[in-house]
Amino acid sequence: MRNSRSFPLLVAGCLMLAAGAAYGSGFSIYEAGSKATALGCAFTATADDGSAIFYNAAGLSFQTGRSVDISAVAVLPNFKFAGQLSKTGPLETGESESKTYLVPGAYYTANPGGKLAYGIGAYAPFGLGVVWQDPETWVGRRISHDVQIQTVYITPAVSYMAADGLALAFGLDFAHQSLELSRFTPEPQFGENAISSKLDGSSDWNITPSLGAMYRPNEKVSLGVMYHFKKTMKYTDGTATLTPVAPGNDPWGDTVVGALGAENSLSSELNLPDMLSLGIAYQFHPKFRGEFNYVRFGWSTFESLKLAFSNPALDQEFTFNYENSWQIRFGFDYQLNEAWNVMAGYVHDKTPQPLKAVSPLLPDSDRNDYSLGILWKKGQWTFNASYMVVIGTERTNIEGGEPVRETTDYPFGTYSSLANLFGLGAAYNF
Amino acid sequence: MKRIFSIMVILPVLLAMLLTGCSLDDVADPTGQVNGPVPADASTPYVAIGNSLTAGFMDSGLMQAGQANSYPMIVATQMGLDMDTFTQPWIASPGIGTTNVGAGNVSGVLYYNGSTVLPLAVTPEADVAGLLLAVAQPTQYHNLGVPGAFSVDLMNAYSAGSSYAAGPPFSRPNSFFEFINRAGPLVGLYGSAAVPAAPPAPGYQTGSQFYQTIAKGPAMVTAWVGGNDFLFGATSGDPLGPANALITPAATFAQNYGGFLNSLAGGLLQRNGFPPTIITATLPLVENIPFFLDRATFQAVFGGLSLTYAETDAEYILLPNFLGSDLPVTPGGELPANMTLSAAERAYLDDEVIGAYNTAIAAVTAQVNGNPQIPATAAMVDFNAWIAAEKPTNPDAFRHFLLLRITNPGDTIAEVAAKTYFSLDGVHPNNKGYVFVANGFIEKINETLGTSYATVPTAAVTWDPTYGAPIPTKAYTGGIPRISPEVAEAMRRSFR
Repeated sequence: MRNSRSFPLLVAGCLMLAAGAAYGSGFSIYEAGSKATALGCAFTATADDGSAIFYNAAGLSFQTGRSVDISAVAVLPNFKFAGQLSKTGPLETGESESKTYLVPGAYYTANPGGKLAYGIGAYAPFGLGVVWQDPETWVGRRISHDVQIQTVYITPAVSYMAADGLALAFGLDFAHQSLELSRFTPEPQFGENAISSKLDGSSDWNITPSLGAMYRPNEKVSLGVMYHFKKTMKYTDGTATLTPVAPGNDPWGDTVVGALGAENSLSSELNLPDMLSLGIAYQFHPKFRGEFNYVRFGWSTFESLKLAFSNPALDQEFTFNYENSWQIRFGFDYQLNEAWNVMAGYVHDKTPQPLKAVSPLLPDSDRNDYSLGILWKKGQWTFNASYMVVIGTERTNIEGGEPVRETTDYPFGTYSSLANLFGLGAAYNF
Repeated sequence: MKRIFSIMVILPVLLAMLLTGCSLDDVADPTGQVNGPVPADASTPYVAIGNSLTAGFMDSGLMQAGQANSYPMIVATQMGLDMDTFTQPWIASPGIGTTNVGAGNVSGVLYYNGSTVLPLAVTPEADVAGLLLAVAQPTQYHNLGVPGAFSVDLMNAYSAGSSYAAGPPFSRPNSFFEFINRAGPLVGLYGSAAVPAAPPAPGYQTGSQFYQTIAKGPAMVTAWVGGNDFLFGATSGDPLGPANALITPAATFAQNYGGFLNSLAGGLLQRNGFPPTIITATLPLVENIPFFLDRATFQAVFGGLSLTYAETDAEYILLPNFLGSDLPVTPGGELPANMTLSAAERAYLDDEVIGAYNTAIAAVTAQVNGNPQIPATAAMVDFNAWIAAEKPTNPDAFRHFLLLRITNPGDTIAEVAAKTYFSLDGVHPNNKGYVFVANGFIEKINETLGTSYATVPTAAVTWDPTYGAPIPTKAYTGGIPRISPEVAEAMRRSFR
């Protein structure tokens, strides 16, 4: 009971910590728990800790007792760029700032022993954080020099042991999102920064279902399915703030801000994809277990981001035209002894982002992830630490010698990315 | 023992990775993968510089209907540009014409009401600003043609007060600079300060056509310049008399033109980083403008009036001046000297003025094209040759509408209107004429750049000199169409 009371505080704390960082394809964050991260998030058919709320709530039926599970994954992304703003322009380079984004996971689960198990969790399955160094001179500053999208899911879920070894789960994903985008608008002739624009807003809460199923025909095999429905996050109370960069010295900036208004309200909708994961786990040896997941994201729903302002002259649309994407995930767990486990994983993550949409806002690419982790059990406590490196393939938005996207605002060249993820988790079972 | 060993080996490896992580290499320079810049890579493909002939001035005024048919708009359209990528200072009906329609008023464009030519409407000067439809455009227009602009204005004029016409002998500040080189709510951004003596960095505070063009940074510029340098003197009918002061001396024109074109080439090269393309054009001789009617034709049409000539060797009659006078109903009268061009006056204009201007245009164009210090592609449309080829096979195209009404009494207004390339003012082209001009530029552009922009058949466009006026028959009723002296004056000059 004491733990039940403290859980809302835990969730609130996690919400405050939640921050965006794109290190799954698109802007997904698939690392809902530190232990799962160590396993390459190939966890749909295992789901044996609190993060089952996300990976497969049917796993709750195979857990025992009650657990409080806290996880934090620190993400240190790094993006680099080299290219040009125009063919006649010089070579420009850019690098993202060294930022650490903390991705939380907080879960409470309970399996009283009957057919019904339940739990609730807070996690952040989508997010984006790309902050470029030297924003005033960053070549992509007309598109974005600082973008943050933070998404928190709170999911209560129940799992029902429908038959021997077969559990079915249902959850409700309560989602909230915030968005922040900063960039510069140049004066039109010579490109000097004239207006600093900042968009920020919080979405309405959105509720969609999530489903899970797990089947364990014997002690060696486990099959799992997870599905989270797509979401449309609606923004109705956003704000666009326009600030002249050189008030009094740049008549263009002063005039345009004066004409458009220094502050405008903003409304928008941002679609989040559905997520489907199919998993199979196999106990190769009493001490060695492996899992394979095929994960599909319905990113085709992410076509564009339309921003509607109180002054229609500011209305704009970012076109993304993402495509559905997939990931394959492998995770391996070796039990050294009763107290210690070591884990490893590999992920190949196919980007949903067409080349035309590669931009300073999010230079996405196919990724290969490698993960390691340790787990230590001590009485009712379980602790784990994980590390994952996300290596993005270089992406060059030039084809046949021509920029794929010919505008005066989008730089063209080569983007590269890499992220280091460090996770810690603690769980208490009682 | 085995467990301890495993922990001792694995843990340090994990800890090391946890503490350090991986790092990202710098990105290799990808610029070698990009094709070199070409003109189409400029932020602006095309800007047009000039005077009324560039602005789309038609029927003694500047109005949307004429602007939509300006030669730069036609060229831009054929290049694939649209109303966003090629902008003009659109002016609403009734347009902006002359100011000789009563104190404080501005005439709109002229129209034909079935028997004579009248202003479509009159706008109080205080309300003229309300006609400026594109006034909120925050950047320079792509069509920078300013009616009434002289060659010296290209570099220097950024307002009515700084226009050449503001000084003697004209003393009539040209307000079109206010409408076109400045932009409504942003007045103060464009050309509100004097042009510095030394070439400055291009900026908003230097608003002449030249500086606004450099600021715009086009890959290609068409420049048809110089008409006003002789037209005011020529249409006075007395170019060798006191009106000679209205004509820019050929040497001055050559100096203005050379300075402008070289500065344009250098400025654009510096601005864009690659050589610009500049298409220039020669100026038509007066005998190719319907305002001036050759004596033989005049005699054939109006011989019944038994008119005599104050200038006995008169070669050309200033048709609007004649139609706006009492002479058409006064048989036996004398055409005054300022209503005709004598042989000497015509020769002076053809040879020492327009001919000399054209020589300068050709020479400067060739010099800019071959300048090794400032690489640029410059080519010239020779409109004199262009007209010389067209006129013999299509002489009516170079006749005034009112004359054609008399000589084609069986034709409807539409049929007569379809014959001529010139608008009611007798100087500026109509829809067809601007297509004719645009085709000259398009062919030269294709020849110069190797492009294949399509020309536009002149037969594909129609011109309605009635501006949709409800004239029941639109048939010719006979007699000599007369126009008021005010309208005749409107045909001679632009808004000043």
